[in-house]
Amino acid sequence: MLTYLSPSTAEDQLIQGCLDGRRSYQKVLYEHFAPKMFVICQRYAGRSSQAEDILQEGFIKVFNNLHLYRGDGSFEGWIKRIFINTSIEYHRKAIRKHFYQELGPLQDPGVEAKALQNLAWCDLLDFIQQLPAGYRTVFNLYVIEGFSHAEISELLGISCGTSKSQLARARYMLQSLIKANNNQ
Amino acid sequence: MTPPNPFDQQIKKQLDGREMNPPSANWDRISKRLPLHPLLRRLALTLAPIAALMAFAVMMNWWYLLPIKTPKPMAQQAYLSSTDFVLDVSAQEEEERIKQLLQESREPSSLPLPTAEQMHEPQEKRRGESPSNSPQLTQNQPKAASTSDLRIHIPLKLMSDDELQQLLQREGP
Repeated sequence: MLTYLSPSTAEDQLIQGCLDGRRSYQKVLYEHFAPKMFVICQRYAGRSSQAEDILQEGFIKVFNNLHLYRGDGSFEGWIKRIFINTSIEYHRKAIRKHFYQELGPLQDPGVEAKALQNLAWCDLLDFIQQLPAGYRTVFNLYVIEGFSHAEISELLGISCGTSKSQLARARYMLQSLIKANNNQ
Repeated sequence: MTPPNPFDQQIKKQLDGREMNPPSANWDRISKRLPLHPLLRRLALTLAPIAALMAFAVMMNWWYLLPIKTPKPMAQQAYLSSTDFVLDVSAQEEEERIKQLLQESREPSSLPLPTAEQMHEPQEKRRGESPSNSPQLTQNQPKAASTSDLRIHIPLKLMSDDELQQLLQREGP
């Protein structure tokens, strides 16, 4: 039904159906956005089971707060923001713990661009999941989501310096993991 | 403005726009936690106070508020189900008779006993009397107690050992 309509009309109908509490519309919305949002959840989560929990929480928030969507920006962007906030809330304690870890001096592991290109995206996702929660969150927010250090510091309640150092150490650890994988 | 890091750009390029299907059971779990359809919710909101009132009435034992019959006690129900509830009429009559005899033996008759003359009157004459007197008299006259009635009336505690022995000898073991 929705495929024969223009995207905006289909989206509007979908939103209205969800607002009316129709389960079929809610399922269509879930099936449309779940694959994209699940990757986001996987990036912020340490394990796959945590990603599933975040996905559930995120969709519950989406359906419960759908009436607050004004239609100013893109609907996908609005949903994405909810999932990022849900992920941060889920790991808030773990994130704060890892910000205060003692860290040793950093050396550039020197990863070749070709090694990164040859890496499957699922493996890259796996390496990101292996990062400590604090590193992982700042890396995701800065590199993938495109947040500035000022925005990250405000969002996580940390200083800009902490955000920068966390990003540098996240990069270093990720490069080390990629290099180790490439050498095998 | 710092130039974009090539490593970061490569990572972003690798992960941007990727999709991964979550487990199919996820939707079931989400749908269970979602609020009900507005119509169902309205119905639930309407029925909830009624259900609460009924629960409260049941709790307070206000049976007369509800069209519910008071359940019989468990013991009575069990008895009714275990028997056909056919009264043993002869046993009941017997019991009534014993009760009457006991009452009569305790309470002395208020009516005057028949005089010697009355006792010696021929039966034919007595039959000719008005019916207002004779039934009263016959009703209040002590009935002849059978041996089974005697057994009931004998206060065993007041009997001496000899009397008891005699009684046993007379009645048999």
